[in-house]
Amino acid sequence: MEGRPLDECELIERAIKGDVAAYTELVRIHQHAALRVAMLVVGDPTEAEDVAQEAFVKAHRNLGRFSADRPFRPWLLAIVRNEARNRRRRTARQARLSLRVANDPVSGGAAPSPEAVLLADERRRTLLDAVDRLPDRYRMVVGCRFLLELSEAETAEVLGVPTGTVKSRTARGLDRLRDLLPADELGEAG
Amino acid sequence: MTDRLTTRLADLGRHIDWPTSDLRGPVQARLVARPAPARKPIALGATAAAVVLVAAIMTPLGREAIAEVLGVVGIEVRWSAEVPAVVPSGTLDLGREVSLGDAASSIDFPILVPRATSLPDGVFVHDRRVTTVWYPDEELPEVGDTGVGLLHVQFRASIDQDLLSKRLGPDSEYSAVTVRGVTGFWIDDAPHVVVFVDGEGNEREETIRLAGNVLLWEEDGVTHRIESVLERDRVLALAASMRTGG
Repeated sequence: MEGRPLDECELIERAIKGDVAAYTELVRIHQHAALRVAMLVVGDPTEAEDVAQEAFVKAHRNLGRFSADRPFRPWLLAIVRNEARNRRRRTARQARLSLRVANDPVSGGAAPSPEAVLLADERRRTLLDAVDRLPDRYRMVVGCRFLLELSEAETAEVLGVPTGTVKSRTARGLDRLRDLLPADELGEAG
Repeated sequence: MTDRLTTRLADLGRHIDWPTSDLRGPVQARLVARPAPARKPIALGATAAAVVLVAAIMTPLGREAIAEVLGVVGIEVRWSAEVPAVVPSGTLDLGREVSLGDAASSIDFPILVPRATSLPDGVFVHDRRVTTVWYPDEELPEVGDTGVGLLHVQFRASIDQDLLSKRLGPDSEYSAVTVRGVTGFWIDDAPHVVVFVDGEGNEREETIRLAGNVLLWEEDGVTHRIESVLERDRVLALAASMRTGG
């Protein structure tokens, strides 16, 4: 994401001047991304909410040092990620994600058969399990790039690494993922 | 195949049970209690001190504590609100890789090496700065995304030569510690940038983002900095075990 809507600039300016409502609007815009980054790192919904909340408070406290010519979202998400990582280090727990109950197919068109839903769910579970088994440096890049659908530049800023590193870790992460998936998972189906 | 895999990952992302709570209320409640910050100027510039610490310390108590500690180790403190939350990072430029013996003969101070661990995985020399590096393993977690488990930088700090400035993030916590019989400085879980300032006053940012714990002390005119994610007591024990190597 390059740049941001003009009204976001204004929200930030107003928040810096002490307008709590303006900052609350920034929270509304970015809370989903913040919760997802937190969840990716800590793997526990309650803890992810704590982390995201704390990060928003810290970001607010540090708005004065936010450079207005940069995008807000990756700056915020980097704070979320730091906060989440500190939290996880204290608990020393392996972060794991889980699937929603499969009752709401995302794709449009005709409703798939119950068997197809189950099968798709099972394949997602296999893939998720493989993602969670990736070494952290690959898991974070793959998670940011594809699960959260952040751009390379945003991922780089959130993780505090150069974009070149994001590229190489993406490639290696996907390779590792293929190695972790059963051979029939990489076949023609899907 | 890559395309199919990335498509499947994007599909997976849309089916994960992400938290969806609304944070506006809780965040707002906490902001009302704490007024918004004003923009603050950057406090950076040339200095005659050997070491400059640029820190963003929000509490007066923290400032005094640090000034006291750093006064002891001969470090000038400057306060700055301008600490980037995220630092553009690149390759870890530690200088030229040499053997421990070669490092010892090219540096005019004794290099300290811990006895409590194996020998360093890498020894690097840059100008008058020596960096010993241990790579992560099961016992030694990686520092951030640096590929490094523990980093020990040693350099002779003197007037008008390399200046070191460190910018500390808002999450950092600080304490005075006794290390090898002198007063040192422990920075807890500190996202920071390391900036070396050369003799001509040009700042060179070490292009790496570290977010580990830092132990900083000065001994016999040499400044030591150990960075890792290890707990304080382990790092202090490691420092205590150090002897001249090479």
